[in-house]
Amino acid sequence: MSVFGEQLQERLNMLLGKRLSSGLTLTGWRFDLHEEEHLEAGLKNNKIGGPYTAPGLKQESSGEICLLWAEEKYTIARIERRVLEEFEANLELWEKTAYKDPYRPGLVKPYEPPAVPLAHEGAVAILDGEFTPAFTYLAEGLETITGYGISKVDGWVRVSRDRRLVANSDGLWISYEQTPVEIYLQGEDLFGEVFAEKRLPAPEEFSGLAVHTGRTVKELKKKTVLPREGEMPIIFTPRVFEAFLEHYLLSNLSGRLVANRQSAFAAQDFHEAKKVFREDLTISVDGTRPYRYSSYRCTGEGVPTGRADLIRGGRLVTPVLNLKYAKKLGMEPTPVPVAGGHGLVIDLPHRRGFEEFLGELEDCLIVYSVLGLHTQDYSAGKFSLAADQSLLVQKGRIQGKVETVLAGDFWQILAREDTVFLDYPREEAPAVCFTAHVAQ
Amino acid sequence: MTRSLRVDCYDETVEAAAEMGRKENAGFILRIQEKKELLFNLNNGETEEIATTSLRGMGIQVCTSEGYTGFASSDRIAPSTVKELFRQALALAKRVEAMKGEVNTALFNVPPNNRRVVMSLKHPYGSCSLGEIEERLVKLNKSLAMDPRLSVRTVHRLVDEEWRVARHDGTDTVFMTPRSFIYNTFTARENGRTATTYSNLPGTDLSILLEPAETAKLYKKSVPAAKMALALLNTGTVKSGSYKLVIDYALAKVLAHEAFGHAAETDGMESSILGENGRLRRGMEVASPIVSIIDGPVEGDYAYQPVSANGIDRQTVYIVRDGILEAGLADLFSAEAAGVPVTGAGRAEAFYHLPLARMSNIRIQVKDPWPIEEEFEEITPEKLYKYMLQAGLMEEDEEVYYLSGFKGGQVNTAEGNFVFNCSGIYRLGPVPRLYRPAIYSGRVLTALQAVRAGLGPLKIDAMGTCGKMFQGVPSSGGSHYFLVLEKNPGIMLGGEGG
Repeated sequence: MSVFGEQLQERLNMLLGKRLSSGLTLTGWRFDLHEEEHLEAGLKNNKIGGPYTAPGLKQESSGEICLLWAEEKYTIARIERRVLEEFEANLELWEKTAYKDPYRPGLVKPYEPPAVPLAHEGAVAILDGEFTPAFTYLAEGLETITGYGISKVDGWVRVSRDRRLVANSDGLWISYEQTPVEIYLQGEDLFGEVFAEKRLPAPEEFSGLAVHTGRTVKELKKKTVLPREGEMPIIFTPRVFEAFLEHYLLSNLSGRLVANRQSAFAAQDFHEAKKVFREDLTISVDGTRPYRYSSYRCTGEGVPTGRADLIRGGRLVTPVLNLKYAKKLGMEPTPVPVAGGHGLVIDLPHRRGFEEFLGELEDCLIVYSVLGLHTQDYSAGKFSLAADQSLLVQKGRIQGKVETVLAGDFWQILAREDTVFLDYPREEAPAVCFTAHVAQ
Repeated sequence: MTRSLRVDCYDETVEAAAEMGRKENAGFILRIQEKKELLFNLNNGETEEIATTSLRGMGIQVCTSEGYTGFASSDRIAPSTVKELFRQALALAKRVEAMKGEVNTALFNVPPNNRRVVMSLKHPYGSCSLGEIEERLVKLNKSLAMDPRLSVRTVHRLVDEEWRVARHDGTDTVFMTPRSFIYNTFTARENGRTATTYSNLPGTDLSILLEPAETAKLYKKSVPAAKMALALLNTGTVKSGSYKLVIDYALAKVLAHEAFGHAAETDGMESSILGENGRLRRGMEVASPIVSIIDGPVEGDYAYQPVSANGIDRQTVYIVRDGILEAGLADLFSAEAAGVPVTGAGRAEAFYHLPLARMSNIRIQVKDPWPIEEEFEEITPEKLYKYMLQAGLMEEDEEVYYLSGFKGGQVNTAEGNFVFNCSGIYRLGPVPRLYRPAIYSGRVLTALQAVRAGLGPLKIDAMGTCGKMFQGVPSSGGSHYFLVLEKNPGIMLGGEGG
């Protein structure tokens, strides 16, 4: 990677300050290069491999390049391995696609990024040829889940190594390696659960994943009838809650949407620290935690990783801002959330125990998945969704699976004092209980 | 002889793969992809981004003579690289064999194919200056900002994509999958309320921007969408329940795609509601007898793909004919197990993906539709109400809701549940009343049984992106301008008490 990066740096530096035939003068550049290798292996209908889930080795070099020209012109392009071989043709295209942007991002000055550990030796060993653990996850997952009487198990393992280089013409040069690992197991096409970090799972983490998947699928195979329609307590499991946070909250915290009046929140709302949610709720991004899927050392623009509150004490703090929208909104750039809602840190002083709380409710629905979240209007906050995998619980006892349609307002869920946040086994993010309208 | 394509220059790589196949006595499918892409992003009259993308690479799927499969891919395309990838994929296939993994020998039972599809495009990638494209898009975007409460985003994407698929049996097929779209998003904000609507125009090249008839069509679609976003700021919600419904052709495309097409894909037949013991239940009554569902490539369409990612010609398939399940969307590897012929349904997003059985252009066709001579874009909810009365499809004071504008959908093919969403809902009447969007959800077979009539000619250019197994491929389809669905307790609108 560094040779590729150095050669690209050299070609670009040769152009700095020169007026090209198009009339453009290059004043700066930055790039974000990735050299990636992946091992993937899958399981379909209890069988490892096969034409849809064949084990595969994949290699790719790609990245993004941005060129700053005189007179506020800017070029952005996705590049691939042959960018150096075909540099002149690429340069011609980059000149043609230059556009005037008064808010074009500047360059980050050189600095030493936090040394967040992101490359796990077990994952590296797999990509160096020790493939066995990847297949073992699938075999063990299959064995555990079928032990719960599940007749159809699917899943996949993906282990990656990404050698990343972020550099710019002001001398920024940040190079590091990371190893994202994802393992997914699913039963009967009803429910699946994922492990995603930048390391291999510890044995107890992996067995917890398989056991949780098997148990949940077993419960979801028992059908029952919704006793009544109307308002009732709903519990979103952490995965569902994270998906809602991603769709509604992160969309509306997008700097681009805020700057362009396409968010539920206006720029002024952030300047005024407008209270939008309950006072004990703080939501942050944190890219500094070792080996976490959402961690990194810098953004593609070179902005350092860190922790930043997006919501603090129920009040708006900042949108998620890259350099351009930070400039446009007159605010500081922020670290960016990686992995959507799963990458958010939810801070609440009070969380109830999950099992204990279930026992206190007359009845409730635990929602494991919804259909159609991506079709909802993120800017309005309201939702109307099919909950295809939900368990009816009465007096703390699981009765079985029901299929329902839920309707509610996600902004209200985050704002209401009677919303209850719950510690959930194996998960950092909370489950959340609120009242919403339920129909069969 | 047709003109040459970029993928034509890889003859030596294809030959090197064939040589490896002979040497190792193994079958293979080699996929070479070359893609160039141009993206414009404008907001409120200003250019926010112009970005280019280039993607090149190859993936090779190797199958041992016993039927075990391995895969390897690289963004280098060269004879030495394909030999190395072949060895890696073969080693992985042997590991699958050691683990007693899945066996599939279908690759050895298909005839070779040397089809070459080179399309002639009126305004292809590179035929117009970027400055002119930008100028036209800015003009369009500004023209749609008709109210200070509106924010308008315009995205234009132009893709110039070529594929070459070769196999051990001498297959060497080349095809293009060009596509383009202009997509407008309208966000209305007032007093803390917001509403978002969309309009779009798909195509295969820059004609959607350069041909006056095309831009006029987009404008006709966009103005009502912008007005709807504003009107939605002050509307209520429909009480949840089952109603007689009218859906437009874009929603009908989603009904066909989400509620039915996925269940007909043969790679999911083990758990599909249209399968029994892994085989497609041909002959099963799945829809009203007036309904047929057809899928197949349409030249000039946004989702056009004439040849599958396994090198087999894609066929046009009557999945349902007159209400009866007749065929599946079958790719090479799952057709036999599902008990149906191969229809060339395998598609992949990129060279580093393994293909899956997928739809292309799927449409619902209804017998004896009520004729409408106007263009779809001319038909307001008021006019639709009149057509419904004239056709005898509703009474004057009947509670009928018209779902307008597509916002996506999702399906669980194992259980037969689907949902989809619209941009807005009208209660039809002399003065139609607008409500906020709400999901339409229910059971696949119930929904198709509920189709009572179609109005207008077929219109099959509704576009989307299908995300099956995290691979995004273009999809399209439609139906008659409008479909009428009878009230049925198995299909429900909304989810709020009202």
